[in-house]
Amino acid sequence: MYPLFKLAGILRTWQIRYCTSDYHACERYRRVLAGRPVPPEMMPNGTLLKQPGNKLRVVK
Amino acid sequence: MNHWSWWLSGLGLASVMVVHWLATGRLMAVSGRITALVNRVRFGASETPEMTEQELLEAVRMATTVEFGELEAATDSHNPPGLGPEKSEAPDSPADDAHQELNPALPQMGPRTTSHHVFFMVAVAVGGLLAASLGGRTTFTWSLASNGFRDFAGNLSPVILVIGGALVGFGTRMAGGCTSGHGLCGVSRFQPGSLLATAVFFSVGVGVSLLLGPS
Repeated sequence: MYPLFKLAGILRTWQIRYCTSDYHACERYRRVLAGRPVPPEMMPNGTLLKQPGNKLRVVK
Repeated sequence: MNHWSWWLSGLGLASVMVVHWLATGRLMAVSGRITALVNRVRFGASETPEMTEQELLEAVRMATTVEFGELEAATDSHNPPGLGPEKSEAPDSPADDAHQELNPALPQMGPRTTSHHVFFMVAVAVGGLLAASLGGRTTFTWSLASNGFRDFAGNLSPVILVIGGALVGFGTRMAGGCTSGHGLCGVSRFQPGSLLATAVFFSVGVGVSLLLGPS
């Protein structure tokens, strides 16, 4: 996941929201706690990155 | 028994971390690799979409816009990188960064595959064997070098070592990382949790070593 964020501003925004603020809301964190695999293309809100043109799929 | 010089070992470990990051663009963590491999066996390999860097960037921008609201630059995907609107007033805003191109100096690697993990594990074993050979310590044994451990364990040494290995696995998962993840990656990044974990690792290690006696 980390290499996806070469854009420091976007990374910081997600970090503030999901790493340093309400990390219990992070879907990646919750999956790790539950022992479930974390897809590399999953964003902290549970959204799976898809190719442009396809709608984002939310898994929660 | 010969050991590598402390300074040479330190430099070697640091070099491995830096080279790993330069080669893969990721921090090195051994237990994380094992966890990923086990998860692949348990749940199967996840289907990762094949995307170019630009498509990936677009997808991240879209996800960011959906999560945090409309960003001027995040939706402006038609401008070539570097030719977007003037810089916004907030230099660190996501909108500002969204016009930057992926840093070409950083390696661009896709998600790891099972073969990557297996290769890494084999490389760790071969590297350890090579390091031991260079130090003249290639003797294979079913026990530890410590006389205290041999006296304590006797013929049960292999069983105790297997149990100890399993406990190390549990501890690693509970601590969220191993000595390489916390001790090398985390400490070098001044992560408080890693500093605490490493302090516990090494203090317990020193205590147990003193308890078992010299080798």
